[in-house]
Amino acid sequence: MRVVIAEDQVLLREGLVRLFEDRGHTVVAALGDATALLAAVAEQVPDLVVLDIRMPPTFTDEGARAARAVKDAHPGVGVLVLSQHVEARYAVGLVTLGGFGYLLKDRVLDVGEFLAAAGRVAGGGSALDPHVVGTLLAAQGTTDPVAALSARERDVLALMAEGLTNTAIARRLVVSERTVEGHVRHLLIKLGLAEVEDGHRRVLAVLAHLRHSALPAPSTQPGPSWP
Amino acid sequence: MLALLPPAPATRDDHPVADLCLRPRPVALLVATCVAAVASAPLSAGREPVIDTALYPLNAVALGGAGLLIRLRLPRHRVGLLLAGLGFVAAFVELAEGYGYHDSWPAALTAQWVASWAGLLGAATTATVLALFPDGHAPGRRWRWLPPFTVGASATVALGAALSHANDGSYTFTRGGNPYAIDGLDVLYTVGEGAFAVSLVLAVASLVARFRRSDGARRQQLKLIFWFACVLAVVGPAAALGFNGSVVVQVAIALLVPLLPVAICVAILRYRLYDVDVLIARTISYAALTVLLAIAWGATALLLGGLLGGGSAWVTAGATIAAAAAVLPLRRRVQDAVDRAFRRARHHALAQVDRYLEDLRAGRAAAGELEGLLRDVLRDPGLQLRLLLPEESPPTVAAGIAAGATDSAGRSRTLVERSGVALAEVTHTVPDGEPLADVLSRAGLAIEIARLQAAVRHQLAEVEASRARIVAATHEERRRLGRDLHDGAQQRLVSAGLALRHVQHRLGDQPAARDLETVVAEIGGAIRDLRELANGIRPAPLDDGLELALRELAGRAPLPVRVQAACGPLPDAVVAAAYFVAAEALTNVVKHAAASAVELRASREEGDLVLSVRDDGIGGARPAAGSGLRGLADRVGALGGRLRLDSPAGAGTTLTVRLPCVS
Repeated sequence: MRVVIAEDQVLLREGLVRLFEDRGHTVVAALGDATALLAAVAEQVPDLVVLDIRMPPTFTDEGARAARAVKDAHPGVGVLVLSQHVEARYAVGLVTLGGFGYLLKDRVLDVGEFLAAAGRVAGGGSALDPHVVGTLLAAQGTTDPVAALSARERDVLALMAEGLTNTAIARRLVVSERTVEGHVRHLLIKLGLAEVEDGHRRVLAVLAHLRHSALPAPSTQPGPSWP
Repeated sequence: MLALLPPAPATRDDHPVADLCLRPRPVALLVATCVAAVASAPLSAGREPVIDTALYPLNAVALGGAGLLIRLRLPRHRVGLLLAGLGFVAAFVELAEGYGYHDSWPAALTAQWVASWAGLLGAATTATVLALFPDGHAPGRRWRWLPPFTVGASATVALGAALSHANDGSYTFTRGGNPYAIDGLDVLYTVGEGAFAVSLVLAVASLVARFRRSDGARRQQLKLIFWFACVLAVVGPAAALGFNGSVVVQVAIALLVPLLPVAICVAILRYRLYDVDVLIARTISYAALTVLLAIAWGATALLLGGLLGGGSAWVTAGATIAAAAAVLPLRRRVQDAVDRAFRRARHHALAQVDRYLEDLRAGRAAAGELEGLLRDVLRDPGLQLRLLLPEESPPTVAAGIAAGATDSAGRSRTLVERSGVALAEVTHTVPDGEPLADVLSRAGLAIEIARLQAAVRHQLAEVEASRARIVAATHEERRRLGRDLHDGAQQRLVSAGLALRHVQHRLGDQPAARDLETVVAEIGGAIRDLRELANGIRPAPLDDGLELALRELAGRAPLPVRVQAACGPLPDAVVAAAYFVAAEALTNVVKHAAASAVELRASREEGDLVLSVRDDGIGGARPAAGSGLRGLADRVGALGGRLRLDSPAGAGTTLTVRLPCVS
């Protein structure tokens, strides 16, 4: 992969460069802010752009605007946005695009998964953090999408999240493959994902499930503590 | 004209003695007046009625004294000059008259002659005094000919008396006639008399005209002269009714005559005449009372005389007892009636204040309506009531209801005090005195209540403002802390983790590489902990607006939460408060409500944000039960909002919060 990195913090930028280079990828440009990003992309035409959502000068949405600009100018270039926490308002317009990823920064420590996600994005797929997906579904007005599913649909969704194919799911639940296909179709409709391109919507559905099942025990949820 | 008003009230305390050495001539004139007046008494004694011997010198001294007092304060005031002059002329006339009684003394006839016309000159000048009262000038351009006319009339009548036979029969001329008379000049005296009568009528008319145009202190000054007219109207007819021989009436007249110069003097020198109205009303009531008692006495005496056969001591005693019994109840009624008739404004105003106080006690009126009431009652639409809160120091220091200065717009300030505490300052254009002083003192309780309310409101506003500032500061601090955690510690941990990954990569398959795996996992855990911590301090979704934040919150709840939110842009503090309320409410629902569904609504109502969290659980929640709810109420209260918990047992719980959105 040919990668362009834009990250204002020097140590983190160096770390990302080495991360990619250690695994045999080529970092063609490592930038400290978003101003020269578009020019670097136009010049290098990389497979992937990795960028921080907050960058100088204002540390608000420079990264998000740069990501949008890169996708507009070079739809074929994958864009992976890194963020310290989920900032839904900047991601809303981007996630439905192919070749886009939005991950929390600490995901980079899980090198294998991070590089796999980067590879998916570079190849035109999605890589959305479960937190991002949850927030985005909420932003689309779908409240608690998983709660609307039947018990059997939830089982199917959980197995999809484990990476099982329809055939494997049918075997596990001891039902016919056509039944599983029906459940998958229904749950995708209920989750409001029917209009999205197939592979991508499957990812969203699975991530929605992850978000739901990852909830801690009720006693500490919901909401933050408030002294 | 204004310059002639004394710069009261500071001068009130000036000691006249200090002025004596500075103004020798006025003092000398009074001394001369006194000497002449005193000297006249032994000369006249036994040769005229005793009352005349006492009364006229007394009048002369009163005139001269009043004139001096005015001249000491207002050296150029024409009324002062006139009164001092009149006093001297009157004393001189007495002296000349007394000398003239002694026929055998040299030039006694000439003394009689001088007394005959100089006395008239003095009497006629009364019209001039009235025309110039109270400021020493004619009432206006249309009246400017009046003072010269009165002077002319006085001069004419005096000249006529001096040169004609008109007064030949009077007791002044002991030998029968005017020694210096010129035949045919009687007509001059007649013309002078007529002119004097006209000038007197016109002077009174000018006073009435002045009164109708006047207000404030000027009006009070004029009222004092009208009070004198009232007294004269009561005593005059009594004197004319043939009681002339009565010693009582003579003494009354003796006391009355010096009253005019005294009244004039007081009216001019006292800047604010608070009690003139009371004085007039009381005079009228006592006059009426006297008349009524006389009628009662007479009627009883007639009745008893008819029954008992007249003339007995029993009749007199019975009539007196009846009259005495009638005094008290009659006095109250007469005074009430007079108050109603002559002090209607005061009577009406006090009645209104009383009604208001009653309403205030009964809770039908608010203390805040006080200013409006005072404007209404005193007919002073510009009146302002400024309540003096305890921490404010009073603008002026005075006792009771003290008067301050008057500004160029004719407004003056009055301080209202109760038990030595300055309660309020009233700015008004109505004059001091009646009915202002009475109304303010009657409204004292209401003013005190209004002031206490204002003080409480003020303190509450301060507390609320400081609470809001504290909340805002906390809010900002949380945001800063959250940002620091994200951009500082978390970033550095990620960098450190990446560095370790790089080291791990270079170590290859060595055992140390596997050890590093644990360390990196640990760092990942620390980053997640930090994110949770930052989220607790300042939830990240808050940056995305309330609607998204609520949906995010609902999405994380372990039970179905329906969100209906449409609230537009909101102040940051309101978003945070609403979010925390929703979060706490959802936590409570999960913990206690045993609910199967929750509805979360957020909308704008009249500019306020209204947030409600409703569940279908078991209800019966008590506000005091959770300290979390207490904290929410505090947070909401700090923003000036209200929190309501509606939780009937078995019928679900609804928590509603209304937050004002003024940022």
